[in-house]
Amino acid sequence: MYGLIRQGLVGVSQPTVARRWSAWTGVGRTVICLGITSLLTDISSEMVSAVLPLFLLYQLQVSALQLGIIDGLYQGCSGLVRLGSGFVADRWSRQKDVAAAGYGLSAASRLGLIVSNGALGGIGASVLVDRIGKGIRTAPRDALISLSVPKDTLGTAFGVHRFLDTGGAFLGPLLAFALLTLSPRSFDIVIVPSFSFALIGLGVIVLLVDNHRVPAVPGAASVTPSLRECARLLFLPRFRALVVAAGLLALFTASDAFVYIGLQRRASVALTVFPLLYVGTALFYLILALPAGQLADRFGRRRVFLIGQTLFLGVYVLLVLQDAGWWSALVLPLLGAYYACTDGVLMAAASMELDEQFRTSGLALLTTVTSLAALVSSVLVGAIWTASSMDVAFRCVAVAFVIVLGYGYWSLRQVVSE
Amino acid sequence: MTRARVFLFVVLSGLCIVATTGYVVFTIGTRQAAPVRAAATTDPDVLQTILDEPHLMFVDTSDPTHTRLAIAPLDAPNTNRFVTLRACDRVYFAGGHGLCSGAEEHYYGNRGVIDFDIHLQPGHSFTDADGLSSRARVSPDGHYGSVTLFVAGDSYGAPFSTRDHLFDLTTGDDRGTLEEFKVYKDNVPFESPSFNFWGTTFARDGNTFYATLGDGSVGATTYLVVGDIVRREMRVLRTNVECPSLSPDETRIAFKKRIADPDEWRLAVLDLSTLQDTLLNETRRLDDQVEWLDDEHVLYGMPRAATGTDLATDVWEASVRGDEPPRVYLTDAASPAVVH
Repeated sequence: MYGLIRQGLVGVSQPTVARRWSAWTGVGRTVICLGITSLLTDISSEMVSAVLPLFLLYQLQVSALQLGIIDGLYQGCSGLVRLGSGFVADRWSRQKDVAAAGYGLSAASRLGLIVSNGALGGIGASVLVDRIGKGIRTAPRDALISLSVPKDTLGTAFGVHRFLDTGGAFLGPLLAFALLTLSPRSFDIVIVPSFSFALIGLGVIVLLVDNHRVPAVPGAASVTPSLRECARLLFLPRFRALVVAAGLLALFTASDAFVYIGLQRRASVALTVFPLLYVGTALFYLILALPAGQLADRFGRRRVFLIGQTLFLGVYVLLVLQDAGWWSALVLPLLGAYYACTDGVLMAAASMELDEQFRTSGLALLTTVTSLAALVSSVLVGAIWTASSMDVAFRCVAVAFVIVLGYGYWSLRQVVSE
Repeated sequence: MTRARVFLFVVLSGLCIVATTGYVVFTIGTRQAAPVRAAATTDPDVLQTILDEPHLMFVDTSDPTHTRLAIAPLDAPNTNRFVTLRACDRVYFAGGHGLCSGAEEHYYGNRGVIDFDIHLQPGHSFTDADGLSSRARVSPDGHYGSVTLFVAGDSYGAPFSTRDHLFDLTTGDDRGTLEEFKVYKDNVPFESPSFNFWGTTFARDGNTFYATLGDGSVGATTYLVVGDIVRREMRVLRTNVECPSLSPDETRIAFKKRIADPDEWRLAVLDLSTLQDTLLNETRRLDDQVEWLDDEHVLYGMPRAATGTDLATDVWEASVRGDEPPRVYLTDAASPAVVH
């Protein structure tokens, strides 16, 4: 009875925009609201990332070396908290609350940035808090998305979410640079709106999204997730195949930063255009996210994931070619399409294999493996680059990537038909 | 989800949007009304008067978001200053040639490097030098100029690295970057793709220069190099000397010495005959390429607040002998260049 009343209320008070969206994509209010939270939070964080190096350099006269340390901090430390947050969310069935806590930490970090008033320690701390918040929220949020839709629309649901999410990555830097154009070097007029966006995004998830209620299935519901049960996820053959393939592929995928530096060396992109590379990739990603998700629902999530990985091969070809000239510009659509076909689609594919009680832990496990692999990949590419040259580095990882891609096709082949 | 929650959300978002918009509009409004300094003048006769006597060329930072090329008389710098309309982040002048880095305003700060003549009229524009200004120097004979710029995307380890450009100011030719020069250490070639150069200072012979070499990784050793422009080569002299500045008598180098990581620098002077250095009695963190006022005194920029978002800077004067405490030489200024 209570459930019926609640559902009735949902129908009545659903915001109009969300209802239209739901009608168009058929993915429901939770996905749209989580998407909007991600959109606003991403605008917030990308605004800061776009100006932080400039802020440090101008305002604080911090040198390149210190920037390197902070950047490492910024990128490196979100992986550790993922597994813990995934387990906690599953154990008490509180995906929404855990995700909201993560978004809350990121919003608080923005406030910390304002309050620290430019002290380097304060900036470092707020960057760290932001990364921890990101680590905490990702898996519970993706689990909530997957739990709120039927299995045959998982790809579409993630497509809608990633469309909105990437919209934030696209708009954030543009907004930041537009504000800086109005008042050069007034970094506070970027940081204050950034906090505001994060706060509204937090409001969306706290006030407009509900926790997922585990349906009362007799017998099955009594299984409370324990650490041991979570560890056994790795023995599910279909899930394990995905984790291994995605991890190995990530190990030999050059990070965006390397791709852009490679592109800059090849096509000698001007310094002032450099931030636009990120925006350009985000544009293609957001355009293709929903179609790729729908395609995944129709033709198989694993198949689209493998197609996406194959597109990255195109990126390598363009980077290794000596005289690609204007063809180099194709790197941006290729990279955008790669993300559209692999990021949310991988989560959809994994969600197919995971029981509801273990959904968050499983997704957390998968993203921990891929992000650790990405970290190792950066060290690897960097080491080869330093030891020899950019060309050698790209060629080496490209060859390894081809081999791993072959393995991916082989290991996922028997289950491609779903 | 209840109506109460939706209502609460609408109220919260409304408050955020109104407060933020108000803040942004107010901030942009107040910052564009740039404060005009009482001591600043726009009278062209005053400009000529100052130019005719020994003067200090510098960057006026009265409005730190719109820094301008300015000059003031050397004997009484705080009594009169002429602030030009030329945007500038770093400036230097010697031998009848000036060099300004950050000569055009851009959304993230200033960019563009130009040179100018004794009447402050712009001459060549060095378009290959694209980045955020760090240092600028001109050789005493006015023949060569050099700027250090921060560039993005060169290095994967750090989001910024430095690049040191060399220009021929008599012809307007770009002589490339110091990265193209050969480096020798103990007479053996010394090379790495991650080498960075910054903070050039020139000798009076019109060919010798000193600069800092770093290998671009965190906490790495930096080296003082002495270079030969014609032969396009450099030689390592010793370690841990950043942003060298050659004294007028060419016997010493004032520099910022790293005393702790990360980037805790102090003002020091190196004796070129012994290669031994001495810390001066300026105990604050220094991040500038200093300028010699005379053989016994140096000038350098210093932020007014040790931390925080206060952008105000002053030029300070310290005695090389350490017999006088450092003092403010010129307020609201940076990048000093002494012109006799």
